[in-house]
Amino acid sequence: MSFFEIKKISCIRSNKLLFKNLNFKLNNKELLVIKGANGSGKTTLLKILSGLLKPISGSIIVNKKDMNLLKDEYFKYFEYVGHENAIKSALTVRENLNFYLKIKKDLTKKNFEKAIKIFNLKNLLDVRIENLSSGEKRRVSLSRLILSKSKIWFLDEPTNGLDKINTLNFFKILKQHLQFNGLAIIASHDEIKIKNKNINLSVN
Amino acid sequence: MSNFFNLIITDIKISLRKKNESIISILFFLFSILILPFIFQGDQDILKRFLIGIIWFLTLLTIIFSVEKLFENDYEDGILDQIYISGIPLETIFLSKSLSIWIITCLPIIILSPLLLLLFNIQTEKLANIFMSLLIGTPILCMIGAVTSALVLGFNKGSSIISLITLPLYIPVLIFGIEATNSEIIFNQISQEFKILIGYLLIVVAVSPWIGGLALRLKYR
Repeated sequence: MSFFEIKKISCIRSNKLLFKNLNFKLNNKELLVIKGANGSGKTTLLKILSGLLKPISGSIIVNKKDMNLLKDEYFKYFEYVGHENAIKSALTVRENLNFYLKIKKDLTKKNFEKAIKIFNLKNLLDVRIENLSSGEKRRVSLSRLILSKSKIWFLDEPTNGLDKINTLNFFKILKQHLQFNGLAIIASHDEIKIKNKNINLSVN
Repeated sequence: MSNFFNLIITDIKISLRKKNESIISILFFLFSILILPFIFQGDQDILKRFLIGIIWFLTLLTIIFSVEKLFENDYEDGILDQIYISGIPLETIFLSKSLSIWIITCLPIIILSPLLLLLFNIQTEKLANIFMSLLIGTPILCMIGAVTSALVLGFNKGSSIISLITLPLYIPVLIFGIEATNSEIIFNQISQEFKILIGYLLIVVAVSPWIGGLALRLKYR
């Protein structure tokens, strides 16, 4: 029995069938890469997996439990970094991270220094988000992953806006997460050198 | 409960940082009142007769402008998604947003209005009345506005129609708000108009979080 399983997920958005009866299984230490052209439904699939959208049919099974019935419990299992950075532009980097530390129970302050160090945010801690570049904003958004204790990561184009060094840095962190029994599902156009399963969504 | 206050404190902090946006609505209210003597050409009697109605109407306009995009920025930036998946109930998110916009927009109006009456030399017994009626009436206006804002969230088309549908809900607040301000307090008995306003407030407080939460939940379907 796999730790994470998707059974017969189908989705229609704006009268368009994006995918039908999608199935996959994922175990500890495994990475799933969602590939596909623009508009193929990668972001929609990740939003469905994160509980932000409802599929027309199908179920998500985590640890043998159907998560459609246990939404609050499901939220504790994963950390989601979406297409948008989800950071407040009027607040500083420190204030943004503290905001999430306060409201998200799966985040822990223990790793605050580690997150800052890994994503090289030390000099930016007291800078307001509105004064950061897009790559720096992405690093702030991704640093939530380090604060997180969650087993599953859902990431939508995580390296968007990152330079080469930070992209490599991110994949190093992803690899570490997988080594520590984590799971990850990524929508990405990058060539990923970590061993992975993949699904290809096509534009209908 | 701590999440509720965290959300409010963060919203207030942001509005204090974005001074231009938060002050502009208060300035709109203040300047609109201050130019009244010029409109009425210094006629004190007309000014005294209409001032309370104008204060209420401008309060309504200020609130409608302020709550219009109450959830939109957080929704577009993905912050609302993150708050939602953190497990905070949507009703709590709705209530915290409503309360923070009330503190940011309405509290200054509630404090300023009696001072404006003083400035225009309106009977002093109405100072307490305007303070109390706005204190009771503005949360109603904010919550109706917040429900509208939650309903139109993410809609490109039809948002103005939804806004129009909720518009009649504001009218009783205006009517009874103005009447309550003009009412007389006899032997410390609160007037009928105040009682109706309090009743409306209690209904809105009881009902709007559920409707607002439901409207937000529609975005996650």
